[in-house]
Amino acid sequence: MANYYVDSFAYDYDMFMPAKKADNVIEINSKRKSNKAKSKSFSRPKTASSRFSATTLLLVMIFGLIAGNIYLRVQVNEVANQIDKYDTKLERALSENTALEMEIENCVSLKNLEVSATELGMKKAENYQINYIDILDGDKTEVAKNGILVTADAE
Amino acid sequence: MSIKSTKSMWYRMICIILVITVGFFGAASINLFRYMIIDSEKYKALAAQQQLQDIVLSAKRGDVYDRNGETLATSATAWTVYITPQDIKTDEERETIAKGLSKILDVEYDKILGQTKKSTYYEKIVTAIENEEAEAVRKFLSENKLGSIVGLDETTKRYYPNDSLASTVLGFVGTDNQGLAGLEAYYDEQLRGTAGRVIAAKNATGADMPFTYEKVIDAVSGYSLKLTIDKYIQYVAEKYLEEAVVENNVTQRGCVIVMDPNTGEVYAMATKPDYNLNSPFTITDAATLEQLEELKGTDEYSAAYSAAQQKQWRNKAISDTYEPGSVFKIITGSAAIEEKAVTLASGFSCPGYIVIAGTRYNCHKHSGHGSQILADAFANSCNPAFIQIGQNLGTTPFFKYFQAFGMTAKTGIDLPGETSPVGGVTYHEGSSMSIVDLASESFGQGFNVTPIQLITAVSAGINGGYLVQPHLVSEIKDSDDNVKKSVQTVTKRQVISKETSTLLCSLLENVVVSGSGKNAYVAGYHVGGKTGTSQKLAGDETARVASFCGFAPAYDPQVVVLVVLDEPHGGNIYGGTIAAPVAGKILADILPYMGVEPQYTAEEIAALDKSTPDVIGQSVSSAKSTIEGAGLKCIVVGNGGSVERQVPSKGQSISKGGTVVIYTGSESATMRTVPNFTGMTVSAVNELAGSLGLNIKFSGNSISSSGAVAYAQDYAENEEVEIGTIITVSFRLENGSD
Repeated sequence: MANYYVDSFAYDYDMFMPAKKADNVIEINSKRKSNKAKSKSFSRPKTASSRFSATTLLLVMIFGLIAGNIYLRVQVNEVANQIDKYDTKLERALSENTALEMEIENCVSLKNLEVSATELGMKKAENYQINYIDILDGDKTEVAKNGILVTADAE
Repeated sequence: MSIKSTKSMWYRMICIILVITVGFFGAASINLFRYMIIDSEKYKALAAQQQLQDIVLSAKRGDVYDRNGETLATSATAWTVYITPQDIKTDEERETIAKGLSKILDVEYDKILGQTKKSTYYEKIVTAIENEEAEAVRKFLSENKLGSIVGLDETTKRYYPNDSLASTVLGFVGTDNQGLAGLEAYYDEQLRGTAGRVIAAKNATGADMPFTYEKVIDAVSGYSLKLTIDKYIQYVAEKYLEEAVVENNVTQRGCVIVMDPNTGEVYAMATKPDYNLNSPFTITDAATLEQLEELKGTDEYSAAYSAAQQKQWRNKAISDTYEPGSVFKIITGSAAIEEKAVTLASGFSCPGYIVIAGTRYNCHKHSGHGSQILADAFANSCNPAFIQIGQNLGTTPFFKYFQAFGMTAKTGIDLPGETSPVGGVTYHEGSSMSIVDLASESFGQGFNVTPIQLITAVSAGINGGYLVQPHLVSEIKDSDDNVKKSVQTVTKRQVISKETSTLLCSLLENVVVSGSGKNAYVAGYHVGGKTGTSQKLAGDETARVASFCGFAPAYDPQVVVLVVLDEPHGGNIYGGTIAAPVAGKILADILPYMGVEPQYTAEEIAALDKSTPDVIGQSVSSAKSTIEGAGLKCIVVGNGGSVERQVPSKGQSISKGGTVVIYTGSESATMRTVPNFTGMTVSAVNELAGSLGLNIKFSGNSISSSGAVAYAQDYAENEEVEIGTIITVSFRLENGSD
């Protein structure tokens, strides 16, 4: 307990007095003791309930972080698996598309067309049955595949 | 006392802990040093193997297109089915696998069963199946829970949509997608692309963990090739070549090259018989299959089968040599004109033979051609005349032109397997050439060339004198369609002057108009050319090679065609008779396609066929007047008022004066028996057909020539046909020679 002089309560003069040894204290390590005392002097009083709340909160936060991380990874893997699945689907579709395109090309090959046309009683046009039309370059029109006019010269 | 003992214990304990600690950390440090420094590479690799998976991404092989952008070859993902026999536990599983896969994949049950009994970890059942079959396999695996035993590996399949079209030019790829023949082999480096890699972390089960660690090196697709080949021209060339090979029983295959003589761009290159690009290992030629069948079960079968495969893959146009015969007279003649060893007015005498240094050379016309000028010598393809031309020229100038026209070197065409000429073996060196050798070589015997060498030389003769390098690829493009390389015409040298070339063209046009090449005549077009029938002096001397090299238009050559039929056995063996019609048909089909407009003479216009008018629905009188107005005859069947049906139908091409039969009711058709027209002349066929009420479509390029006789007809003799039916009868000059 600090002693206070009556004429001035504002100052604790004991701070400037030599320290008194307590009778029941064996001094082992003065430095350690003073540190202990110092830390004791700065620690705030804590209740058991507040300590419990802090620990729980910390645990919940750690658990939450771990759970969140796991969930995120699961989601990432699921998305990755889906991408893989669609990639495979796309690849198979493209492969099938190429195979079918080649089948179509084969069906409409010049040889097959000629055979089919002959079977249908069609005859090839004779050279004299072909009419040639000479077009000036300026009269030509270039049309894109989707039908949009790209260039046109009208002279 | 107790304090002292505690202290010693304390020290001992510290010492023990220290020793253990030092020992533990020391051992750990040593091991770490070993793992991290000494064997670092080994453990790094082991760790990577355990924790990472490295997947190779196959590069898409580049496509091949014709000059108009039509696909000739492309690639797509396919699957290889494999099994791991070591994982098969029971016979029941073996049978299920063999039964299921054989049904889906059309592979022999016993073969698969045998594979399941092997003690290996990987047995390939079938390669490059398409998605439809792969899906069926996947379904089968999931239904039978065989996913751990049977698997599907991704691979690439090469598709050739036109089967055998340009097969000897395009070539094919092996199971590892490496080009094995043709352009696929020659441009393999450009087409192949660069394989990519995916290095990704894997979990304990080996599954992919792409977002933990993944490094992707994208595969770079191969470049695409745009060829100078035109799909339509190639088709036409193959069609008529195949017909000629079958019709004339050509035993050593035939080939055709169609080329732009000015640029060296090859429009078509065909060899028949050839093979299907989608199954290149299967022998397609019926005669070869028959021979192989006889050898089945013997030791020679395997070697014979392999030889047959090699033969069908071989591109005759660049790999096989032959003695060009009279087609080579184009070169002899142009050299002599250029060197002024002959002029148009030079005279040559042909008594049917000529003797040079004691060696007698016969002319194909044993009675002789008599006195001739240069144009006659070309038109008659007279051997003694060309021997005289060669002798006038002399050995040194002859060899100079022989060399300048490219007969002593490869053409450098962008294909693998071009045969290299060898001095002293395939041709006589200038220094060692005697006048007897010169005599033989003047008319194309005594040396060997490849068809591509000859057509390149002829191109130089007719294009103004420039020897150009033939080529098949015009552009190399990347997957984004950016042109990486554009192939330009390579002119090696000018061999003859423009004047000589122009003169040569007119001399060669005369060959087709009035000489041995009449069968190559095409109405409306100026066709030039030279026939050839050569002996195979190195082998069977009775064997012949029939050939024809033609071009059009003669006043400005845009296309040159070479037809070679090696060892025909169909009765007629002359180039002018069997090879010239092939070239004529090809030119007749492709010239209009190329936009070369025909210019008919008055004579040709008078001889042109007529198109049948459409008279259905018209009154009988109106129909009769329309038909007769078109220069055709009309036969009316029935008593109705209007035309119900007509034979031939509208727009058909029939000869002038042909018959159109009109039916005015539901009368039954009047039938006629088809006669045998073979061996008849044009007028005889016309007369007979007219008397029977049949229409004749005259086929063949020499129908306007006297002496042309029918050799084939599309309706067989004794077949019953309706009156008015058009019968196509093919004509040619049978006495064509050389």
